[in-house]
Amino acid sequence: MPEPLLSVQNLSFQYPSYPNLPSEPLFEELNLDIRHRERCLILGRPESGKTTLARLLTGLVPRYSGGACSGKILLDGRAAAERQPCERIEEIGLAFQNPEEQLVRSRCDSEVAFGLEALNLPRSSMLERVGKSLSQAGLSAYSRRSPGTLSGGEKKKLLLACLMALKPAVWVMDETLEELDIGTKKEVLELLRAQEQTCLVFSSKWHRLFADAFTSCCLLTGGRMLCYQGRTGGPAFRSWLRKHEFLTPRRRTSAPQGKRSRPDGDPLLRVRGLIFHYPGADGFYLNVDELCFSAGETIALIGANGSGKSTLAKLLCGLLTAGSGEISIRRNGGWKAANPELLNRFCGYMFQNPDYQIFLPEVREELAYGLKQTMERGGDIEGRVEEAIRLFRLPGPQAPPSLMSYGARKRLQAAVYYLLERPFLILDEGDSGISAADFADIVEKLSAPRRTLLIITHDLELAALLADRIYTLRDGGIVPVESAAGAARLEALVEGAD
Amino acid sequence: MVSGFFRSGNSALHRIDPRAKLFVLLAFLVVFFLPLPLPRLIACFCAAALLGGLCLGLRDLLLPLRLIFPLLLLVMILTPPFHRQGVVLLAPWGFPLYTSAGLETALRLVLRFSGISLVFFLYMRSTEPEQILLSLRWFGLSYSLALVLSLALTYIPWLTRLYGNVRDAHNLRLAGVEQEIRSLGFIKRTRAKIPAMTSVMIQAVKGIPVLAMALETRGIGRKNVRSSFYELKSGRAFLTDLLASSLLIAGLALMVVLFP
Repeated sequence: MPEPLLSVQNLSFQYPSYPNLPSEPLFEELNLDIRHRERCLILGRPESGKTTLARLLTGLVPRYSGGACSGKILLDGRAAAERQPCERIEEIGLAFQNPEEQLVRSRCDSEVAFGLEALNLPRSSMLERVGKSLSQAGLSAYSRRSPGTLSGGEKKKLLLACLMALKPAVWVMDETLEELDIGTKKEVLELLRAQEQTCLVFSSKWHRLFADAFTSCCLLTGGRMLCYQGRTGGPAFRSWLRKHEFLTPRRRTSAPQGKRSRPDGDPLLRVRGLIFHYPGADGFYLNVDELCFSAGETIALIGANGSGKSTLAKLLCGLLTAGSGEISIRRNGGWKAANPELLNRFCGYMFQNPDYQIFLPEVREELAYGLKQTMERGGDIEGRVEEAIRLFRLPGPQAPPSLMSYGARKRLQAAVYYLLERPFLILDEGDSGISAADFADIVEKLSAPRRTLLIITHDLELAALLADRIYTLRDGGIVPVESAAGAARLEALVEGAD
Repeated sequence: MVSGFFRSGNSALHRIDPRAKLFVLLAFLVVFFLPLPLPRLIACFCAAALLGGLCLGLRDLLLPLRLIFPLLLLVMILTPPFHRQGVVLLAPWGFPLYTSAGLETALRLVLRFSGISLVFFLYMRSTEPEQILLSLRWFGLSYSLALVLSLALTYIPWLTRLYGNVRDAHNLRLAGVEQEIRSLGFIKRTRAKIPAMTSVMIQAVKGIPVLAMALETRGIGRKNVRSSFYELKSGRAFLTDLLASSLLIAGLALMVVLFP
């Protein structure tokens, strides 16, 4: 048996505690061996410690986060803690979950060359490596463009190009395949297959595309690493994931599939002849002829990266104004054309990033803030806040929101909108960074007979599971998709849109 | 945190060497700080505006002025009452509030402030942050300091975008209250912005260790010598650019001396 290239031995780690937010051990005696040229998929539910493990492997944690760490991480037989992370960039490289946090230069070619400059490579060698990496990542045409102007998927591919140019022995990719449309996911998987380096890909979701794309698969759960022996993707593998509570599908309703659609629900919001394009942005436009949402239904909006899903959501809640067309709200038996102010009051929009709304030092204050502004005097604010804390499993009334885990911050964001009771609620990629089961749980709690939910997601299985109706954006227009189509059919439809 | 003021292009300002441009920038800064008569100051501002307008277009010319417009307005309103010499132009209840000297001082401040903002903007709009960094290093600045400056420049627009998103998120959460806020006075309106500002601050502070991690994964902190992907012009090309910038500086000096 050859020696492992990367070996994690009895690793234990615990973040520091904060007042009203005690921490618990994240890993206890965790072990993992990765061999040369292994492509390993590490699955783990949100908050299982994937990002922390990725950063521990690269030496960024506990260096920048604090916390108690014990055990060993050996890279090619040498203890990782011996040297600073910047001295090991040729040995191990990390692609962040959020590419925007890692891209710092003003041009794509310069971004790829940034790490090479640190190695003091001659310019001719840098030019060769940069050109080759950008070409492999399919970004040659963007070499002089600012990374900020790329789509989410392109940014992730740019980070891969950075790794390709730097050629570290081990690539660690933190949720690199999340929030990508299927076409881009396939491209990235092909890129990984073509490399000879050892890869560790962390993911909070299992996608059918992953089957056979990796040479090994592990599950990070309960602070330990479980390795699956056998072929991934088959029924035995899925039942193994279910056994360890990674896959916990929850049907939104026990009603038969045919009854899930509710065309008889009262109409709530209508879009007609909506045309929108960003000033100065050639090529992108949105053209919605007719779209009607009924009270109490859940609609999923799927589509490729950059197809305009978030733009449509922002138009619906009045953050953007269309050049022409009308959005109307059903009032007193008739349709009332809604201006942006009315849409602001009518629709809630849960931003992808929950931190945009967090600003108070305690959970109860954060929840009560909106109620104090909107609830009539004498209303039971405390009671409603307690109910939301219990329902959304928040750490406690005095917990500091900005220090809570990402999943808890997402639940807090959902709790805020639960209390605000908006008739129309948009969840923009609300499932990113949290498990499908947790997201399904949030959707279930936000569902109400008179509330319409619009879910924007890249997870087609989740869309098929949760939504009464599914739409996809294609060539600027919105196309209905049969909800009973199933994930495979949806996949084909979205691929057609790419 | 990736996009700054820079926009790629092929104008004369884009093509000229950043070190040569830096000399022109310094010349303009000196001129704007000199105690010049008002017509000469106006002429210098017009020269900078003409240069920017011809090379980058009217939209880019107006952008920095639009950004600082509220500040310019405050200067125009608040400066004159502190300079009450000269011909009285406005004297409510016999109190000389606006005089010719007061207005001249205010105009001078506005021109200086606008001129400085404009030339800095033109420099950053037409020069890639990496080129700025490289030219600062050519002038002897350490790599770490030059990197800090470059990151600071890219952070400003990032914070502006972040504030926009956070403000939208807060407005939607308190929809309806937003309209009431608009009708409030200045102090109450400012207080109403505290939630969004706090969220931005939390995000910015939380971003510091993440940025440090991002830089470290790209090799920042290594002790060895760094090479550079970018190259500054050398030899004849650099001399030509230096000559062009010297001509511009000479023209500016002549205007300062000869303009009535």
